[in-house]
Amino acid sequence: MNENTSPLLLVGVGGAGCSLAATIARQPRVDAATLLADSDASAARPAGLPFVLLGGDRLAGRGTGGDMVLGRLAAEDSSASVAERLQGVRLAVVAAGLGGGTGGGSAPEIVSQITSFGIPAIAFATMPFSFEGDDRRQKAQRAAVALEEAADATVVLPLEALAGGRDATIDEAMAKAAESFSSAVSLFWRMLGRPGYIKIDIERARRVISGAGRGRFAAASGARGEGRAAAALDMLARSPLLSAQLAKPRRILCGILAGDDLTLRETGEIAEGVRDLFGRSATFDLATVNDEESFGGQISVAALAFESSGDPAAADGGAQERKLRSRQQARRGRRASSPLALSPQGRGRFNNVEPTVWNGEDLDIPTFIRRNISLDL
Amino acid sequence: MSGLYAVLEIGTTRTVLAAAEPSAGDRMKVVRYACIPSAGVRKSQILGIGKAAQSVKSVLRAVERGGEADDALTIGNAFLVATGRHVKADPYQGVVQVEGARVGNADIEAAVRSSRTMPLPKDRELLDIADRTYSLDSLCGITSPRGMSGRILRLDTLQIHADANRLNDARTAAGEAHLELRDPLFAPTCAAEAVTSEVERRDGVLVLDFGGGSTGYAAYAGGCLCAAGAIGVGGDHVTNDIAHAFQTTYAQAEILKKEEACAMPGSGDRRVTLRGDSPLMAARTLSRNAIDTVVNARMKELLTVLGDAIGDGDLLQHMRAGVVATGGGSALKGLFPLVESVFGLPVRAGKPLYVDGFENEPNPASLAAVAGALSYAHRNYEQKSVLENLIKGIFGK
Repeated sequence: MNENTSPLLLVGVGGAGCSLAATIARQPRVDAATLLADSDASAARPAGLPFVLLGGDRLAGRGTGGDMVLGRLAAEDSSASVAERLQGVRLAVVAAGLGGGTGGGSAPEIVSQITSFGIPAIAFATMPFSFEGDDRRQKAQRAAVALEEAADATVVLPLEALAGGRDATIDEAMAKAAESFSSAVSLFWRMLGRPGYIKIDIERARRVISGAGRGRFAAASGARGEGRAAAALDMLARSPLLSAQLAKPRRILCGILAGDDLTLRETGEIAEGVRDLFGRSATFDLATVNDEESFGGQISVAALAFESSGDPAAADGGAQERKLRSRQQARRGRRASSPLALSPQGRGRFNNVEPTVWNGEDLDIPTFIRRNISLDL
Repeated sequence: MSGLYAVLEIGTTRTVLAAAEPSAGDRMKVVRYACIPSAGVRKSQILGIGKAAQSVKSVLRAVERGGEADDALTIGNAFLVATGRHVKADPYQGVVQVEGARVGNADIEAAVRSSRTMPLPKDRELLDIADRTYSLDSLCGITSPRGMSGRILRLDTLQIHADANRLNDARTAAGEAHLELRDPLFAPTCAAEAVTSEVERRDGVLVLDFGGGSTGYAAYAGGCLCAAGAIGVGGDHVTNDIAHAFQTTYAQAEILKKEEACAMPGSGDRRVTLRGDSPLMAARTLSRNAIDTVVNARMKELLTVLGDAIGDGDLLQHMRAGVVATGGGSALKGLFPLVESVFGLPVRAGKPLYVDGFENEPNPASLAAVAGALSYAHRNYEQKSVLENLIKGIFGK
């Protein structure tokens, strides 16, 4: 049964994703719907939020045990439950922690299900700490590639960068990473969910996010007092999340979140500073959120830079939506069959080896992927 | 031990060293050989000299110390069996004006000399020249032109050449193991030498050498080599595809490939149990049909690419003796019916015909190229003296 009334849907997948979505959902005055999806029935989660248990009969709520294939199958099993929640949704934000079975295996599948309905989706995902081991890191890398394939836009944030200093205890680092992830996504979320004088409404956000590709994200929270605009910019520039390089961003989405005292000068100063930071050749979209209750006396800035300039047709009506869907499918087809696609999906042990190219196809990529052969596992 | 020939193959999957001596007729008898897993090799190319050198050292030690204590063997040099997609074959024609009214031996020798002058870039190294047929003015397909009348004599050849840097990498790796490498020989043509008869090569036969990192081919018609080369796709790709499709480790995928996979689907679906790589990893089951689908897609594509590479439109129609499959990858279940369905030609396994000593090998076809190289070396090269072998053996280390 669909209970959504908002065109904006936040989906948390797996333990970390659900935790994040639940944290954000508790924040006041955001006009959006939330959906939690997990394969582990025993994990704690707040009451009152819609929840889909992934892989019902297959896993019986016991989780995937870190198996990404099981995660993918579980999401496929539960596709009808997810689809029920998508009626009326115009834009989805999906959050997941990569490296485990549900976040890594189910999240790309759920994103695929969402985009197959013509709904643009942006995925926020975390990469595990390096001390979590090579296996988990490699799984996370595979999952990140799958997410990039499935989502219109993907922002992958390394937990190490989110956690800050190296001297913290593991518990502190985990808590700090969770808090940073939550606050970063939350700023983006509020930018969409509570527009101010300069709006990024859902339709404009659809236009920005559709086909935007890989992104990088930086946020600055709670700059106060005199010179707070400059302080916010300074915090943004020093964000460790910016260390992940993105060659030549084509589109920048910048949100300034403040109280009612935000001045025109401050808005201009931050907008110019962000453009300097990410590159002035990119298309620039600015949004302001005026929320005295949450941001009174302070300025927070959220900035997203994407590798592609997005799809201007995506925000139009039904015919355009069909066009979008077919374009998305075509794009996925190209990604799957293109021999020289940037994505190294499936090259596996042939990574870093000169590719075997025949008639323009990279034969190192598994044939079943290039031929779009579906497997009945 | 006089007249000993040694052959080294640094393959993607394993490194092989074999030593053989001539026996009755043109046959060769393997005195000793060893196969060990390779390291530092991908797609038939050395990516880590140190690791490859270690493999060569190990295999050399295994061969030299493999016999009885009083029968120690010293191997100072070996021919290299080379393959990989860097190996190419180009046609080249030697042309001379006939001196007298009829073609004499001197004209034929001049045509042969002329055919050996194909210019090659500095980074290419000649592996072999296969003489095909002569033509005299407009008359083509002559096997022996001596005594025939005509003005212009041409000799058509197929010249097989390789990336000199890749061959030098093998020399360096072998050199670090104190093994001198003699001339490099092309694996698919060596394999053809070992597993086909003259009659088959005259009738037309295609030899497919399924290696771990690449798949080589050599097509013969009318007794001549018509096409040869290698595609940079091999058994490793099948393993990689399985690992990716089912999220397995490469070791698990290798087991699935060898024990379960079939290149020709349709044997009925069932669940295959995949054991965990460690006690912490639970066993799970996979669809046999899905495994076969992945493998079939890969192998069908590889065969189609090979068909395109062999090219020349109707050359395959001249393969009346069919296809002979060699190499470790030829053991893949269902491969032969798939080859038959793609090429429309009968297929057989390529066991070495003229070399004794590999009979106990589980898949003798996997040693076809090494066997052929031993025969080829014996027929075309003088063996280096025992003294030279010994000197190398004693002072080279």
